[in-house]
Amino acid sequence: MTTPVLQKILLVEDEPDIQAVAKLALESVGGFTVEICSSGEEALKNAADIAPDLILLDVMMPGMDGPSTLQELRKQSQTAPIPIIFMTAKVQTSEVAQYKSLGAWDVIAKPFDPMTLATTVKEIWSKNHS
Amino acid sequence: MPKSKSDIQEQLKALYRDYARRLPDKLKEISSTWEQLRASKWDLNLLKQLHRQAHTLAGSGTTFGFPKVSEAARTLEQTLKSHVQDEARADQDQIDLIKQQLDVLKDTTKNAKQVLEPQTQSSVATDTGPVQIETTANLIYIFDDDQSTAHKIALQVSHYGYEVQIFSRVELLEEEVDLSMPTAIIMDIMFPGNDTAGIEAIRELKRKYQLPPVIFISAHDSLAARIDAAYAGGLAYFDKPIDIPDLVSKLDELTTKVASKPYRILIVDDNESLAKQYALVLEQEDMVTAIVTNPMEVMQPLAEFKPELILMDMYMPQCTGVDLAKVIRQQDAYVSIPLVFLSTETDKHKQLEAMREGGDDFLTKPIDSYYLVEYVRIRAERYRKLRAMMERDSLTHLFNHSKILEQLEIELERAKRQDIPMAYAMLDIDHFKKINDSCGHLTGDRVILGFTRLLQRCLRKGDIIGRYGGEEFAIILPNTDGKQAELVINKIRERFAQLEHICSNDKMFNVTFSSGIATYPYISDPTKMKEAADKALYNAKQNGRNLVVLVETLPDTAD
Repeated sequence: MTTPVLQKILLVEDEPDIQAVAKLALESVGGFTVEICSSGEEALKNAADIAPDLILLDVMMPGMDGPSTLQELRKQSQTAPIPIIFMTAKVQTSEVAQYKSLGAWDVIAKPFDPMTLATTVKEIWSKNHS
Repeated sequence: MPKSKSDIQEQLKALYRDYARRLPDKLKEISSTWEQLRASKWDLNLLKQLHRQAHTLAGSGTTFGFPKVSEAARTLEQTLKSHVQDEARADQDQIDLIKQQLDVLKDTTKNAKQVLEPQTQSSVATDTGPVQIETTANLIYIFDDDQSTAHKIALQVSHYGYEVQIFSRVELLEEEVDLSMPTAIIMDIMFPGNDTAGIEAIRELKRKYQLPPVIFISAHDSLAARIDAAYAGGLAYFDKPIDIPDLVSKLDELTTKVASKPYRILIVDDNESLAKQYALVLEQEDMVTAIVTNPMEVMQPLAEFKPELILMDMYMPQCTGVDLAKVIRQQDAYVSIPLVFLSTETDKHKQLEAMREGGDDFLTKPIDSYYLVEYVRIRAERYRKLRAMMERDSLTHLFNHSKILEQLEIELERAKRQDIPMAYAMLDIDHFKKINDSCGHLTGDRVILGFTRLLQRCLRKGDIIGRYGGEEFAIILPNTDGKQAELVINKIRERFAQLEHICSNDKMFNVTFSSGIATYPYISDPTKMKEAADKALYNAKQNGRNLVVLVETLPDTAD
């Protein structure tokens, strides 16, 4: 079975600085198309229309946090199957297990290296499709 | 459309510059949230907001070239995290700790220089690469479910210049050590559900890592627990209520790596290859040697090399060892330096004669290498101790009055020769007599020791510290101008004022000091420098104490 292609990524992140760097890193280095939502609420409203192949979801956001957003996305039939990767500042390995048990594929630690972010995302994508 | 790597780098750099510009504003936001939190009497939503802001900064700083800002933000974030989880009101110590970590964050941000090639961690959080264990200097972990005690300890310990992270769950030990190996661990023994959780955790971890010093603390004092703790490798054990000055003292003792300077040995022997052989044997044991093959030329190396022991051949063509010893001993400076003869001479009377004239002992050749090394080490060590007694204060081991003045002359000469500035600071603990009178001399001694440790921590290796006597100290700061000296001493002043000391009746109290600083080239004579520093110190005392005065600011004080 061939791995489906990863083309469109939805980035859910409230910090404009991180938004800019991640978008640049993923589009320029990875060749992906990147859409951005600045909050969990915005993501819930627009994810179905955006129909991304993957969602990069920040854990700590004002209002609805990452885990809550994930739960709500899983409730909507159109967004439920979309894979999610969390992003957060350094975590304990036990917390990673917790995030995965919520239904995320993996966790990417911040601060991230812009030059390798795209590769990391691709690795996680391949790993979970084999 | 593929972009070239350099294009991307350029765009990234533009983003980084943007971030750098906006960094001060981010900090203002954090400060403002903190103020609101205080004013609102710990509104939980504001607390969460503050935590989030710290978390965000921790997560972005390094990406944009400010790794130190990330670190400082992370320390703050960790502390706030425990409060968010507990949802309890913070007590004064906890508030103070947060304020302090916030101050560190502000300082770090103000002084941060953007690193254009930003260093980041690997992107995947579950990276299982080889574990690099590098100890982070001055980082202390405290594991204690009793947050109040933990915060009290953390606050005091951080005044001494340590960075402290607090954890309430012992399960976090391995992961935290994995992330960052601290300089020392303070571990509570009892945790909810398990009376020996702390000891077990350390024992477990010791199997995988080489741990730094561990200090156990416990609400429980039993011999069995102490033995257990010792078996687990704990280097100290304190039972609650903790005598914090004592704990910090122990912490300091365990984490200060005192690099012992190598012994200096002078070898006087006309047989060069033999001399080199001795030298080699000694240098392999981390000693430093100098060789003189012509005894007529011994005086200059003696003065410059400043040996702690002289190995001297008995029979040399130019003069005998005995005659040379006589000459060396004539000078006051060399009256007590260990002088050991090397010779094939076995006649005991001749040996006695040599010792009468100034030798301390006789070693008959051929000399066993191992014996030579041990012998030299023992003698040199004893000589060092003796000199220390002559030059150093017995309580603090700092230089004593006469030695410091001697050093002042030497450093002033050096400053003139190298054309660099230097500063001489005199420090006097305020109201010290009152401390001795109301709390006893033991307490007074501990205040002196605490002060000594703080000085040693805050000053550089090249700075020379002395205790004049009583509550007076002197510091020589080579290659330092007035403004720099004032900055350093003021920082120490602030830190010292925040340290808490315990009186004999269990009351806590604070102590301050006043200081006067004289500088070269403003003043160029050693006696005048001492007088000027004295004058500035007096001025500080007159103006309310807990003050640092630079002599330049006083009228009529220049050379």
